[in-house]
Amino acid sequence: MSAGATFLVARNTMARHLRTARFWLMTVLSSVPFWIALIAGGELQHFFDTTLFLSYQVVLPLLGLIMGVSVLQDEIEARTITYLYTTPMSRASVFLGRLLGTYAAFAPLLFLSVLGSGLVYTDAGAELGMRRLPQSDFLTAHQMWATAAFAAAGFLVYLTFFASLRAILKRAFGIGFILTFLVEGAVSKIPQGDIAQLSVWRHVALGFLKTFEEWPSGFTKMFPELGHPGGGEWRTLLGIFVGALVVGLWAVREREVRLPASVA
Amino acid sequence: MILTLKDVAKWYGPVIGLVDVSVEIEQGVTGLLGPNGAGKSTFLKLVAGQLRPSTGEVRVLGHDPFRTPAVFRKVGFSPEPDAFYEDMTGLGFVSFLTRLRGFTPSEARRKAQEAVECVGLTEAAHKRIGAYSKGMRQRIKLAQALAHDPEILILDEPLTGLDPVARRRIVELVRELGEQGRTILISSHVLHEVEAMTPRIVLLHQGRVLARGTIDEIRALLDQYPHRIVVRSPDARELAQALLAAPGVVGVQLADGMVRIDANNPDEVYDLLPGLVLERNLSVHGLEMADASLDAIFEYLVK
Repeated sequence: MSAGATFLVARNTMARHLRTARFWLMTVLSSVPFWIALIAGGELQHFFDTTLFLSYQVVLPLLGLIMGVSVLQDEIEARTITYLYTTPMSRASVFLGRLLGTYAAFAPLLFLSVLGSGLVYTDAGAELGMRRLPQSDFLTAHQMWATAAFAAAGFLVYLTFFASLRAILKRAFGIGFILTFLVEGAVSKIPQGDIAQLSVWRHVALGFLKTFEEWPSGFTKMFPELGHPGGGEWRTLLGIFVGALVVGLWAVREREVRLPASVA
Repeated sequence: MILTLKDVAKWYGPVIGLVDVSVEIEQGVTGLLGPNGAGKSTFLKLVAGQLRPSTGEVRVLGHDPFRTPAVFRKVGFSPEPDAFYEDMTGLGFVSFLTRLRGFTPSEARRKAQEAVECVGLTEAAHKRIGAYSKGMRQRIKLAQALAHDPEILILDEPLTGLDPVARRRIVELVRELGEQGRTILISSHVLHEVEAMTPRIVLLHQGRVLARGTIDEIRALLDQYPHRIVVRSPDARELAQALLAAPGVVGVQLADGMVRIDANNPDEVYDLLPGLVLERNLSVHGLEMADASLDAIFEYLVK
């Protein structure tokens, strides 16, 4: 029964996401790398490489924050969570259903975004009428795919992380925002192969601040510093995902939900 | 016992929700009464597993409702907030929640249709909830609580916003469900509404149980307090003067063509009044026991 009910909640969640303005904003934002690749490619190579990279590694974590917090927040703000929590479903199943529904709504967007951006590097893209882009020293087609895939997976991990944070904290968005930009900036000192690769602040700092005076050619200099995600980063990502999910499931089970103006 | 609260307290930070509440709710309809802020919604949310008690123990059919969601196969809850999936149809909303309670799609739809019919919303069943009136929204909330045929119904202010016809229908429905042997806990701050559904009540005030039992039992508890009698008379001043010295009368108030008499033994006043009126040639237009209603009982208890 629980799996079926979880699926129902997931389906309902996905359907509800598709009707929100937020979804359409996400659609536009997630297509940005593709449009940049298509329009700017070839003629503004530095700009293209950098923006593509930043789109995945800065914009997507922020969208992960927005979407992640919404997993529980939407139901709490609408006060409809009361209905879900007075069914025989466990709270963990409700949380899981909401999470799966949110993945299901947004993962295809990311997939299309990654696919679209990657295509401009390939012969297949050229055959579809896209301009075949020259590969830069730093960003080869292979690296492009690896980075994009990592960023897309990172989005889902961020989403899970912030969904869990909301299960613990009422003001998860503000705290999540600080966490994304400041705390990660601090932990970005950790050597490669660790959480550093996930640091939004690190990318912003390196991408904009360090290279500001030499813009746009300075962007290219930062790439070797950032490196490309490899096995260590994937393991870190998986660890964060599992940890966040476990904490989130625990939190929804243990913590009561306070609806707006619930004191009566 | 079907619903039990034992030494329950609930705080929202420094704000008191409930204090030292021990109540057992039996089969049938029980009204949970109290003014706004009395703790009614907190009480119901604890029973519906939405909140955890700060101290004490809540049991529904022997289980902790916060920890045992399975108990909601037998419990229906109609919350007080006016919250819905606005873009769903009424029938879709009830079907969806009924499916979450473990029914197949066809069973859920059938049960939802029955529940929607039961609350008199058949014609609007396929309309979006966003287009529903306040009364229709209340009824669809009730329908989702009823659809899976629960043993226990917890209804938080279910009559708010209903027109008189719908109100009568819901009052009859609640009474009928109670007579069928279900346990219904219904909150309201409008006393006569609850009186129409059940004589059994729990009175809450400032997070505490003020009294519980049938209205008659609670009234009997009040015999230690003065009873109030209101006499309407154009000669109110003279009547008040005459009553001041009467035995058993502990207070007399004059107000706009009426005398309010507080008496330890109202029967004495009833015996005395005709003689006084005749003797002084006074007119009396009406006489009533002002505290026979639940409102008055409540007022006394709160004082």
